[in-house]
Amino acid sequence: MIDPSIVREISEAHNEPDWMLKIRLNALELYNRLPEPKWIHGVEGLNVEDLILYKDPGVRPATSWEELPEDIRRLYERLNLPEYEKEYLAGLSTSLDSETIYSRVLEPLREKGVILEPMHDAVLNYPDLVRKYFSRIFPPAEHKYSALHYALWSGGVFLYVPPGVKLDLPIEAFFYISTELEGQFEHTLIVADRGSEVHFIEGCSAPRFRKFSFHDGAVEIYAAENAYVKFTTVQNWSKNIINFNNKRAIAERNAFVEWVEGSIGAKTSIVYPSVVLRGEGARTTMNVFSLSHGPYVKDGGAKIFHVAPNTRSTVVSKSVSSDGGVNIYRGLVRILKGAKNAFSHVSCDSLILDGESEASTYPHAQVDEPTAVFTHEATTVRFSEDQLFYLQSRGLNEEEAKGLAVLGFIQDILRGLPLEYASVLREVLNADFSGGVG
Amino acid sequence: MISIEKIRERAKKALPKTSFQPYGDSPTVKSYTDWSAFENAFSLPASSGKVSGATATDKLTSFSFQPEENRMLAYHFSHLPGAFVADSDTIILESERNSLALQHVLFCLDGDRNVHIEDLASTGPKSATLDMLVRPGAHVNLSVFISGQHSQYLHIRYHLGDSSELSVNSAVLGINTHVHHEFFLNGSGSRVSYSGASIRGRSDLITNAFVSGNDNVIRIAHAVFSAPDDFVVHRGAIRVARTSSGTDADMDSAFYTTGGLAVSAPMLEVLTDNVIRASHRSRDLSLSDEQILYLQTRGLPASEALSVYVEKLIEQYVGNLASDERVISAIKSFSESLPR
Amino acid sequence: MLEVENLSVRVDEKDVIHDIDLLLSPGELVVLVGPNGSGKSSLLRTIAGDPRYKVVSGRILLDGEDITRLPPDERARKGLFLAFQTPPEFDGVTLATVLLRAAGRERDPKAFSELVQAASRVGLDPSYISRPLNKGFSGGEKKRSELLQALFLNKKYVLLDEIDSGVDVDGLKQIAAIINDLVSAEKGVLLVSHNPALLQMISPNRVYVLRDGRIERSGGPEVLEDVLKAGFYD
Repeated sequence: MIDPSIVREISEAHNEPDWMLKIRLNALELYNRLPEPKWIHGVEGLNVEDLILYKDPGVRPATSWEELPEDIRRLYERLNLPEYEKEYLAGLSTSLDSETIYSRVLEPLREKGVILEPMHDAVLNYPDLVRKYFSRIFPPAEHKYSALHYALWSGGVFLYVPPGVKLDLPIEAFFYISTELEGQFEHTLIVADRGSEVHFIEGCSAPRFRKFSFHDGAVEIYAAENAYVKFTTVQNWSKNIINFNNKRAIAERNAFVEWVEGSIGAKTSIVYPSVVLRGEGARTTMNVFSLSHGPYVKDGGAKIFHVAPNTRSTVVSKSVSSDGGVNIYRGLVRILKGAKNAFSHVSCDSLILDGESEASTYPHAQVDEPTAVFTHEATTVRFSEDQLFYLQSRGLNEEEAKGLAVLGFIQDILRGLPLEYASVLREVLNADFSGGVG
Repeated sequence: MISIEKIRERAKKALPKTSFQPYGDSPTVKSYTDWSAFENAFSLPASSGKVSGATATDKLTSFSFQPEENRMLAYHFSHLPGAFVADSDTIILESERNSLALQHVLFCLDGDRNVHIEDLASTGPKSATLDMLVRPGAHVNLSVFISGQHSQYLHIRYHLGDSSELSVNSAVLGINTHVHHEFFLNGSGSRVSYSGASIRGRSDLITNAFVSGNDNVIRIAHAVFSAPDDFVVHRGAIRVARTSSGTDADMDSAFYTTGGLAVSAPMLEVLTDNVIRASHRSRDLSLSDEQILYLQTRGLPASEALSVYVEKLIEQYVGNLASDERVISAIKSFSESLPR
Repeated sequence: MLEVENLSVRVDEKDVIHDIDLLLSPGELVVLVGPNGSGKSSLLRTIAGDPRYKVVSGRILLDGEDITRLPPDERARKGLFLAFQTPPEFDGVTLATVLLRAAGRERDPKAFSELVQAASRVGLDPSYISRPLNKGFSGGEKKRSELLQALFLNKKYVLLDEIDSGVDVDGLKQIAAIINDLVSAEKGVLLVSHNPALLQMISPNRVYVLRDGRIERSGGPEVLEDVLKAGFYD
């Protein structure tokens, strides 16, 4: 049980209007009432309440280079990043050269009418806009931890793109307002108004060190008629973290939502992005990649609801399990009656690199629309002795060979990532497999 | 030898601690089976129903069920009047009016056998558990016909001996039917091939396989056909254990809905990299416009093309059960829901 | 006679056929050539009755009867057969079931053996007749399956949409022989092909060259010679 006074304190500290306090208190009540969700592995015996950092957890995670765990320091050195970037990633500085960022990035956005602000500021500056969508896309009542999130949320980003505005450069929020994204319960809300286009990138391929060990964030996306939103997450949480994330998008008529979700680190990760195709002709593509290298559990998946006619969904999920790693894919495609000519295709491949690792796939298709077309295919592949021998005969050792096999396996997903992310990801994977990290 | 009395005692002890299902079946549906109807049936007196093709016994040479597994099994075994050993090639299990029929049958199959099993709940609710031992080197062809107008629970555990082969055809027609086929491949060189269909009504069919031995092959294919107001489910998990090697496993789940809810959830748990194949797929079986056009250009009108397609499709899944009149009539009933 | 009169056709909001006139008589071999996208397949599909293709103007007559608005199965029954360029695969229904049912000959004891004979003529193992239709068939096997069906259903007008793709030289010889047999049996054969090897093995009565949905040129076998000499445009 968590006391309401803690929630009131947070709300007061941010000067929140009554309606936001009310959302928090209702969510707290739900949290106290709802049972522990039985479908979550890896959190048994976890006393979540002990892990909550009530005092502004978003501030610089490390105060000196030496404070960072050795494996992360070594990795940054290997990654050969410029000094300031290394420091930034390590949290030793709170932002990149902020003057440059303002003039080159944030000001041009502002001129187009784009709103990109810390979530707390947006609640105060644009209350009507925020209130219209906040908690309406991913409901607090979904399960115990979403309720907890809404009670304690702090930090996160609000992005609003006005009608017809098409942003051709991705918003790499991490580099602009990263402290906001470092919170334990950060909440990101993205609203793409009619006909707008935006690509939002959250996270970063290089491993991040956090002081907290339980993360319960949320992302809500609203794609209005004819809007396009691409949301890319590449997370590399350090190995002491349990990462829980509540993500959902609603796509209206002819809107297109693209998710690219890459998960490399974390001790336990539980993330199921979901999309509701609510408007006619709405579409979504979800590319999910998960690496569980070492005795960690990745529990992920995709949930798609086809509500309107002529909606399309495509899911490509690739997971790699090695050194005792566990990958779980839970998928749901629900095609409701009336979603005429809905089309959904899911493909799920798992690469298991050794005898100690595992991959499980639990897809559910629930359909009562006769004209729907649905296929789901899944295979589990291994790294065979032949493949290993072949690569060794070219001069690669076993670990390097495995790293290459993994890169080849996730080729499709790498294509969806912005260039610098893809190249850092490659380096991280290589490092991971040659004993660099973890 | 295990006595039924001992089994009953063990189940009675476990009963208070069990629940029908510990987890929700899916994010959107708490339960694919209506367990409340079974709970209601518990208020009826227990009976052995009608059993033909098997001999009654109060001792078993083998018993592989775990009554503690769930509430249904715990209740079933704690109230089981007696058990049976199959001794013919045709076994028919029927319910009895005003009672909850509880039946347990042990099958020991060796050599070359063709066995036909019918599980019928025509006059009352029933629950049946079948323990099926497929001996090393045996070649068994099995057809399982399941049909009920009352709540019906059927749980079959198949144990495959070394180098044995089992081929199963199944058809399910039920109004509140829960069927569990569980294949255990713990030896080496065994081969299972299962093909079945659930036609209309409300049924929840689970095909699970546990593979822990070497060089075992398992192929599961099941399709559900759902017309308006029906709720037909196929799900199941193939688990390839860490200790296994050389497994070749595939689950093919399909559905056809003309307006009823159809659920397809083929699941896979692979705990080792030593697999030849571990795959599954799920798909809808409706014909595309192109496929319908193709059949029309051969001279078949669209509605006839659809109905002959559905007819042959179901026949493919149920195998030799296709000639059973009850299956033929179920196919007709589903065809009536096709668009004209 | 199969007559296409002043036909204009739209599909997916695009005009693909403009004012085409074409004639096919029984015992004739007519060849349609043209670059990809010229409308050859669209024309065949329109004649066969694919509902996606909307006839904007003109008409199609089969032995004097206007079939422009008839559904595909009725056109088939009146004497038309279309061999698909990419035949779809089916679960469950076998080749035998579809053909016997379509021909209304399920109770005819001779029908099955005719199917077997047709299979050997096209070079398909008879076991294919009892397999789910086209499922798992290679490209070449699917083409043979189309020809088997053409032979068995015995329709007066046979439209062959690229019956040669995926087939080797020996296969092409077999196909050419079957085409010639169909023509000798007084069938009207309309062949769409890109394949110079096949085109060299047959003697058409008439050749139409299509470009951008229109007939650019038509004439006798000499048209084909010119086209072959000039090389194929794609």
